[in-house]
Amino acid sequence: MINYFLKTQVLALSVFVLWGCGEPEPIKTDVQKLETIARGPLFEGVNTATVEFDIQKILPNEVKKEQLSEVRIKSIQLALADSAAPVPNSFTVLLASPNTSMKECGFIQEESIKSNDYNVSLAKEQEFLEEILQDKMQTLVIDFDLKEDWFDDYTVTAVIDWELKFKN
Amino acid sequence: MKKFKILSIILGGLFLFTSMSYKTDEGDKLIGVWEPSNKKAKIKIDKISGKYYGKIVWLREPIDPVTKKPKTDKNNPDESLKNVPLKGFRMLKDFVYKGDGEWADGTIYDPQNGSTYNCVIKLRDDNTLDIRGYIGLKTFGRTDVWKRLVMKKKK
Repeated sequence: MINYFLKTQVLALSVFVLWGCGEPEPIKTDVQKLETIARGPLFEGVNTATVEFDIQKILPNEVKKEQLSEVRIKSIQLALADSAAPVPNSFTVLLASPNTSMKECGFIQEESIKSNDYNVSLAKEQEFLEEILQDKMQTLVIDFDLKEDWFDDYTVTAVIDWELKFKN
Repeated sequence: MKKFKILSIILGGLFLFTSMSYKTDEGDKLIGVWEPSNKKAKIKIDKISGKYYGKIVWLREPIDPVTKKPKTDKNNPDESLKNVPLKGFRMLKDFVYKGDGEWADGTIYDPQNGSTYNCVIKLRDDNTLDIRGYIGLKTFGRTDVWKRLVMKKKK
């Protein structure tokens, strides 16, 4: 009798371990284009453009964001929507959600902007992304340091290339 | 009787809406530009998706004396973020208004040592904040007094 219970427990444990060890599967998605907006007028110095989004919208129907695992950002490219808008000294890109802490994803320094390179230098540690993307909504925050006043809205477009995996 | 019930529901809803918006307005008293007691920086607090965040908007010494370039977050524990500009850095994060002039659940970052502490903010009066950073228990912490930057009225 004891032997029977032992065998059942070992079998159940093995099934549980095998189920838990399933490798996350990659998700094929297009790059995500988000328009962050800072409402003008804006004054010289650090200003903030934001946009709220739901990562679920770029996922295939059969994948729920709660299943996301091993999430990374491969690249973020920024662009100013209005060519007449002043070019800032620097950009800092952050992500936030209602139930997690806001985190720095990367930045662009003055030297890169001067050489017209708008690729974001990404944070090496990105473990926080999984929790943020699984939350009910996400906020992309872009802080930018203006050299001069701008009396209109300021739109920064972010093109994000995600590396997303999910667990069944 | 039915009319009385409908009137009660409408009045109840109106009361709830008014008290909720009052709480939101109370929380927004944190929004503005503040100066810590050491006067080395000015921090602008704004509201993003319902929570309060503070970023450095002015530095008394913006240029690094060694590199002769704008200061960066050189003490950041993440090596890849050591070149993030200090001007604009978000040192207050994720504060939620709890009522009674108190914001909690947030953190404060000290760029001088790259450490992040739990933090609670208390409004002493409309232009004064008590910022208490702590590790673990609130008892073991330090409080700094921040003053709001206000425009002086012309005589």
